[in-house]
Amino acid sequence: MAVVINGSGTVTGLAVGGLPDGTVDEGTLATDSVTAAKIPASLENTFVSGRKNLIINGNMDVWQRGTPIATMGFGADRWKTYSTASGVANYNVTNTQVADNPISAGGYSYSVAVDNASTSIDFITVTQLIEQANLTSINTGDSLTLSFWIKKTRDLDSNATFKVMAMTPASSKDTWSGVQYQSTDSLASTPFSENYNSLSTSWVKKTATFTVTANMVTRGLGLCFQIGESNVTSGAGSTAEIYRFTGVQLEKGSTATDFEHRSYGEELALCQRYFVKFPDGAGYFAGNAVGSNRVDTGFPLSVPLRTAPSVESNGYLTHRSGNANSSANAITLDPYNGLSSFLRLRCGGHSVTDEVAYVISISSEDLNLDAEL
Amino acid sequence: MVITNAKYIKDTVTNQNSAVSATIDGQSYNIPIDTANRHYKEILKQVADGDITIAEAD
Repeated sequence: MAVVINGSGTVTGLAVGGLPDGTVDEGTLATDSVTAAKIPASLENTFVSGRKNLIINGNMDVWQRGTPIATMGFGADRWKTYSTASGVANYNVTNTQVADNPISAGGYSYSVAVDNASTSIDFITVTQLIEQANLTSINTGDSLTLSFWIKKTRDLDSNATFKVMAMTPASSKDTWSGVQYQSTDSLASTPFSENYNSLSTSWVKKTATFTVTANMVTRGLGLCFQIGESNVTSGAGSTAEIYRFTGVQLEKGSTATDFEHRSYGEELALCQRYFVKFPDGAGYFAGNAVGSNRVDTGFPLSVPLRTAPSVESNGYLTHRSGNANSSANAITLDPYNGLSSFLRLRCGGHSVTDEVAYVISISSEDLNLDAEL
Repeated sequence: MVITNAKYIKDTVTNQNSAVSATIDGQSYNIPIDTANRHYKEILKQVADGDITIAEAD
């Protein structure tokens, strides 16, 4: 077939693939002329799309438990610290929300500090465990890419390392040991590791890619940010802040894309699947007396809790209509329904008349329900 | 988890064990008898390991 140029700029008769490489520039292509079928999958996979971040509260916006929290445990929602001295749990960690964020001047970061200057600590970890039910978009052999922003605020012992470890439960779905550091549970890989003191005092974005294992798909996945080796704080001597991190994203593929913004309301609702707080005096909840000393009450939830929650005993009371208070810490859970956005709680310690309606409010302290992994 | 003072709580109507009260890492809880709850799972593990026992309800 002959190539014909008709004198008005139209070329016909050109074979498929007949244009030499590098000859079609942007001006030659008509606007919107490239169809989806012509975009290679390797490029398409780098396009930004919604709901890509497997991490909840990665920008450290939600702190339902308060801030600062001067003990190991949950700090920012979904993030839990752990510290050890000579292999034994050590509670001397301070978790603080700090108004310092490399993505937005209005954002936050997670600050880690030692709470007791006289205590030596070997490891400090901050971990997020991802529920298996939230991992159904990945499969064995897929690549996951982690990105996060970090800056140190002081040096530690020169041997200290900063690692991010990918872990998975050792035995069954969503069944984690109570300790998440170093080799507990199943350490699947260490996507990121460098000498701690080599970290910058300015915000730096770090990225790392690792491969999904079969156990991650069927049991769950945890990301553990760890500073340590032996005696990382070198006798401490200071309660000064150690480091900050934020903007944590875990996404499918081998490319770290921009951090996915979710509204505060969305992020809060995601967190409240695992922990929810009913503040002291927040409202009245309808109930019904069951027997002579308890009122069964429906508490509304923004989303159903992950599982039957533990009820923190912190001195709260329940105040019932008729102007009476319960004995402290007398709430237990009624049978749990994982699809219900109401939670039936048994408010004990009341003198009541069976099958009579009462209303209940929380007083003296907040009511905290814990359905964490 | 460091667990102390584990004790059953009885349902005041059925008189059956319905929860466990315990102190875990210094925080007290009323814990449902549900194996998907992380605290109850750990209590069962530590009971099986012989590390703790759960006292009968009052």
